[in-house]
Amino acid sequence: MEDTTPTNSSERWIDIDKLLTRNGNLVGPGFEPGPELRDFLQQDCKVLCIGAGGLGCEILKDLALSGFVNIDVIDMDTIDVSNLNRQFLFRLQDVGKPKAVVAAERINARVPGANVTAHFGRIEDMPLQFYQEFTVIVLGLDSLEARRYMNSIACSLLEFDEEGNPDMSTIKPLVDGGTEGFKGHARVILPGVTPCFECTLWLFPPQTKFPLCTLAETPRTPAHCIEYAHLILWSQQRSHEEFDTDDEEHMQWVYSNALARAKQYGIEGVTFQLTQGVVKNIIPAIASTNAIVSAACVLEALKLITMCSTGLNNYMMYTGSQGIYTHTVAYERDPQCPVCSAGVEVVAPADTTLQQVIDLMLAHPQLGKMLAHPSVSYGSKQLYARGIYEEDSRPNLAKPVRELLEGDEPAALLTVNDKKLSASLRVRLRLKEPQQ
Amino acid sequence: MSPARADELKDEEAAVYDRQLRVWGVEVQRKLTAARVLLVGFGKLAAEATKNITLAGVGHVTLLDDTPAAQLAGHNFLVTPAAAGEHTAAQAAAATLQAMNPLVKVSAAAGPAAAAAASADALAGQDLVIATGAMPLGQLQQLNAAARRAGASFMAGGASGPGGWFFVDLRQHSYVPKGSAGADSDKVTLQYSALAEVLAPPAAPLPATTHAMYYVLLVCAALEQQLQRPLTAADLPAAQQQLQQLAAASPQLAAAQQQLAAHLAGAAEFAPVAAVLGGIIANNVVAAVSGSGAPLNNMLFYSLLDGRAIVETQPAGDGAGQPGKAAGGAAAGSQQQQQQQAHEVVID
Repeated sequence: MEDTTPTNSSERWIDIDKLLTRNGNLVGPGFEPGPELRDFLQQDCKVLCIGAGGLGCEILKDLALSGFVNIDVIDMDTIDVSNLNRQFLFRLQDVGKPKAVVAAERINARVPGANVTAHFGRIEDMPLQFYQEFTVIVLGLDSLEARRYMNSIACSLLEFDEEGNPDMSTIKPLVDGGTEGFKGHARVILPGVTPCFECTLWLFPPQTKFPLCTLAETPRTPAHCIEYAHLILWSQQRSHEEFDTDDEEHMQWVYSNALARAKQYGIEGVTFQLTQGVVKNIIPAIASTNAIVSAACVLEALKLITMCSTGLNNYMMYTGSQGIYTHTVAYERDPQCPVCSAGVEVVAPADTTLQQVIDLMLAHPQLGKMLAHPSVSYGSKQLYARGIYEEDSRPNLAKPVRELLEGDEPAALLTVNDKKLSASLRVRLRLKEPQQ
Repeated sequence: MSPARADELKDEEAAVYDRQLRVWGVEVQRKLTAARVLLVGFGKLAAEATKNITLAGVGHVTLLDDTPAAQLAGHNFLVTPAAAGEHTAAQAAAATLQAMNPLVKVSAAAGPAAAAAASADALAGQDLVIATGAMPLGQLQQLNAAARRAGASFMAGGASGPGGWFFVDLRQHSYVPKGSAGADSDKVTLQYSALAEVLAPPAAPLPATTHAMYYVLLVCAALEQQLQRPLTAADLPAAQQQLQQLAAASPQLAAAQQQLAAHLAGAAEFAPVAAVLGGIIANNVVAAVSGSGAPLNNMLFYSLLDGRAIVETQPAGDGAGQPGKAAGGAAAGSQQQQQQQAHEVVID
């Protein structure tokens, strides 16, 4: 039958027009109602969705149905049968195919006018210029590491003026969602304005790692028995093989050995299901939580772009296991954040050499953890470079650093790079005269 | 509760439901499989709710709405333009949902949503009836009564522009609060009110915290009853007059006036709002069907403009025989306390 859907008529988008073309007492600061907002949304705006899984499918659906047109999605995974309880764009026949590709196809088929572009690959493999094109980036990720990476990308795009204030035009907004079971969160990250992911890293509890002696000598829980088989027994008996969580035989081997150990110590509760959960670090997940958190994220993206209402400031926790409960907190930036601040301050005597500055950074409680073999630049000048220019720049190490800097500004903004880092860090070097 | 044993489910169920079994366990999953739910009226909110409950594994889901699918195609993600054809919304959506989860049964019942209350066929055997279309309140009340006669619980809701509302009637419902030992003495029993009681003209002045949308629903229900027909935008002056009488002393008056105008003008469903409410509906279906975890008691009002979802118990009771009264267990006192106060959550 002929598709008679009006693709961009005001009738089709009447719900959005009501939000964007009328004033009200709950609109955001600087809101200017008018048809230009939807035009911008549908023509000039580019939004990137990171992840096409539990959150990603929902985010893509909400973005497309909210009027966003130019949508990119990136995911390195292929579809698994255990995804099907919540990643509703996928079917049993799709198992094995790339999530981003299938998700994009389905959205484009269901929402006429939607233009979703799929990227089957890792976020680490995309150049910085790729991320720069987007008006806003929405994260549907399932790991701390991936969030830290995207956070560092967005923050590295941030520029500061001479006073150390963020240049608003370089802010790349992130909206980050996360869920587990009935719980979830949505947060807005405006680098330079709200806390970035690194600023609030302390929010996350340390990841479960059992002490080796517990695994080896004194197991008490089923998880101890499982990790014993997975980490200790495997390396003793099958060290020549790389353990593969997708290999049924490997998983069964770990399970039966875990069971034997549990019997030995009188520990109950080792099941194959638990074995999978522990070894694969499975996150329990249901569709409804993903739907709610994703919708909250898309609403934030919409508000950021159109100012149709005040945005979330800046972190919302949600739980739905007992009725419904949420809590919104305005976390504060860490002014010394190595990722999003104008620079972590390093103070040194006036005659310090460049080598000594580098040593100070390596000894710094925060910076030291993030660096191993740093390169340092000052504006466009490479002061010391690892790699092929190392020999050329080596003489600078012995020089007093003030000779390498311009004028006598109170604090010099250095850019530090390192293989350990996903994006460069800023360091503000303050040189003190001996009398002070 | 005994530890989940995934091998007690069929292999395909254990594989597909793995991630949610780790959340609520095999017993809850079994109850979901045995449940029969009827969705009356189909739009964006119904799409979200049915997507969630179908994925959750509710065993029998029936949709009832004979609006031509072509009217929804392209802006309802369950109705693809390619599949719309000559089908009704219920048929097109049911086909998509069935493909989404082949382990359950999703079907379309015949007839218009408006006739649901009179349709013994559609209601027979259902555990729960959920109405989410833009039905007149009088019709919703009739549907609620018919559901009760058929032995089913009832839920109703609507997404309209930046906001929405949701109502739950689980008749007499017992549940075990999460985190309790699960003994009989821990059980909490709630007595729910039907929509007719909730929307009846209030006997006493409403508390100052009463949500603006509740006033809107009261006024619309009363005016519908008076005029003996569904309301249209032309009824706004008469409705505003009644609102003025009802809510003159309320700090919510201005907000209620705005929302009344929007309600009668018939604002369309906004997708992300439908997604939030659809998730809440699904969580309540799981709680209602499984008897595990506290269901909503009994109304929720949400708006994206201030990010708030307000939970209220209506009518607000103050003694014996009043709705929302908990019975049994040490939790009774605090449960009642919680029910009488509106509490606020923020979903930005």
